Amino acid sequence: MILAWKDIRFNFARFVLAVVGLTAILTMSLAMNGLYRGIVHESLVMAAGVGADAWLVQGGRDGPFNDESHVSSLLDRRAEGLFGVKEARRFLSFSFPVSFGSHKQRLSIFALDFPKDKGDRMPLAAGRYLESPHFEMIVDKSTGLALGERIRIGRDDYTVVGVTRGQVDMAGDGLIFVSLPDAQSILNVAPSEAILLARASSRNQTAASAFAAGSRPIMAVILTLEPGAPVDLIREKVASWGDVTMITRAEQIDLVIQGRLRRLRLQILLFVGLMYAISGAIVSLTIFTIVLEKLHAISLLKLIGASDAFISLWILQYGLILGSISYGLAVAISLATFDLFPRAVILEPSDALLAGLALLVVCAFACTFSIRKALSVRAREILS
Amino acid sequence: MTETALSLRGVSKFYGSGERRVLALRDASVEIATGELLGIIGPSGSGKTTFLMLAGLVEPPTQGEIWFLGRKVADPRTRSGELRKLRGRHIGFVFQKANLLPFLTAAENVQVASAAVGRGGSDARRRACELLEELGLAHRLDAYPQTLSGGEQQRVALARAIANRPTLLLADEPTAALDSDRRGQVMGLLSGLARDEGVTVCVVTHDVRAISFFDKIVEISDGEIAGTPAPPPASRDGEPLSHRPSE
Repeated sequence: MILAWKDIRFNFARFVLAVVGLTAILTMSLAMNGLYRGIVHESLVMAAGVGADAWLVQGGRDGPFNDESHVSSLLDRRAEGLFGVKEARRFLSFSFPVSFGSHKQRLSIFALDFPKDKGDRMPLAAGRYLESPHFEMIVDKSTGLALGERIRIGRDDYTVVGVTRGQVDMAGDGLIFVSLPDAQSILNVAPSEAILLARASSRNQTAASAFAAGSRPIMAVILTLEPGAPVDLIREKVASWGDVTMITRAEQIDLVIQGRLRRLRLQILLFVGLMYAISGAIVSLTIFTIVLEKLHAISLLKLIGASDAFISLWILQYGLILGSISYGLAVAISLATFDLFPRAVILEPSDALLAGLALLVVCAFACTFSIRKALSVRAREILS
Repeated sequence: MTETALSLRGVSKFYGSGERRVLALRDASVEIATGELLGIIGPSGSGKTTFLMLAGLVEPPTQGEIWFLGRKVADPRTRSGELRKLRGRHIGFVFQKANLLPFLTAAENVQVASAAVGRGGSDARRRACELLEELGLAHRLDAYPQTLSGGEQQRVALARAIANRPTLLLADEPTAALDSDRRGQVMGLLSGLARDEGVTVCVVTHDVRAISFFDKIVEISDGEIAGTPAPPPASRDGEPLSHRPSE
């Protein structure tokens, strides 16, 4: 005889209310955990998702994500001469206000070093990769742009030739991929007053060349290494140039996570911990309250000779049924709704499993606590 | 020769300690034979329930010994938990209120007595149904307690008390909440259990009309056994109490 089931069957409405409450708090906890995962994931889309084995950045800086970095746009040619380097691509990314439809929004522009890079490292949801060095773009779905759409960025019109998913910058804004020359043109759009000021400040150069020379640098060079390439030797060689620093992919990821994201991560992790603590307290309180309502019944069971194990099993089963149904619903709701959030909220299987195990422990603890209370009830209470 | 089912030897029960020590029962010695129907009478607060608690092995005595089926089972050193198994297997309880578990049906309320002592399963279910049928509740097996009348609830409680075929059945004011017809019915059932099944039945009551059913009466007053008055001669005739003249 499983008393817990019979108890649930009889007080079904109360059980449903308890499940709803627990499911809500567990879903919130999973969402907070997912938000943390999403922020880390989005922050690493560029740093870890562009096929870089190493980065060449401005000397002495930790760029281009955790720090400023400007290097010569010819650095890729130097890098390609290094032993062990398979490919070197120029990296440039920046935010730019773009008007389309009835609204204006900031989009993140990511330069592809066409023709070495046509965008074929990322999966497309629709369309194709870049085929022309100019006026074509691949956009992330979250930008709201559609395949074939044409919009003005800077002084030129660009056509969407491909649509991808999940390609966002560290702020979670959708990326627009254009060729490097196009990206540089967009970046160099300046009002005539700026060109006049540049001319005045550099009398030995023509205005155009002065402005262009000051505005053409790239942020970094992305290196793809040969398998088994001597990373330390390459780093040593790069260091000898003096103007550039080499950062490996792992170091870059570490810089982002431990540098730029550190405080944000700590903040969210604290909230995650807080949410789980609140969930645990609510689970415990719910089970304890349910047990308090049963003290009379427990007293009767003790009087008629029920063992401690029989009474404990009832409470434990109730707690575990409550916990597992709430957990199952919370995971199902999370899977169904997290994609609807404006920024990435990611439910990692390991996180879901850990949350489940934590809940199991909390339920077991709450039950143990409640069982102690239940077992302290004396059989004579029923006679009093 | 009649066997002794339960023997209380110089049993006392106190609650609290020091200045707050309260006497509940002092130096009680009673022997109850197998199949005997014992009545315990006395005013409120006299110690009847304490007597029942000690006789039912709910708590050990503060002084004295309790013997059950020829074996010493409780003295002041005994812990309450040690008595629970014995209680579950050999002793049944009926109360003034039925005290049914509200989330179990009538049949399940009877079945839980067996499940509580590890005798669950289909046999327990069958036994529960048989008992309820015998008590005229065949049509109420799946009814929840709150849909049963007071008399029906009390019969379910009685079925639960005897589900494990107890040696000793203790009843605390089992008829107090019932009308005269139902009182007679319940007392008749208890009497039948003692007479036909050999169950030792011990009934605490205020109801003077019930004493004609008893084989032996113990009167308790101010925490002490005041005497064992002889019951009227016309006991155990099965006649409903409501048909008896008032005493």
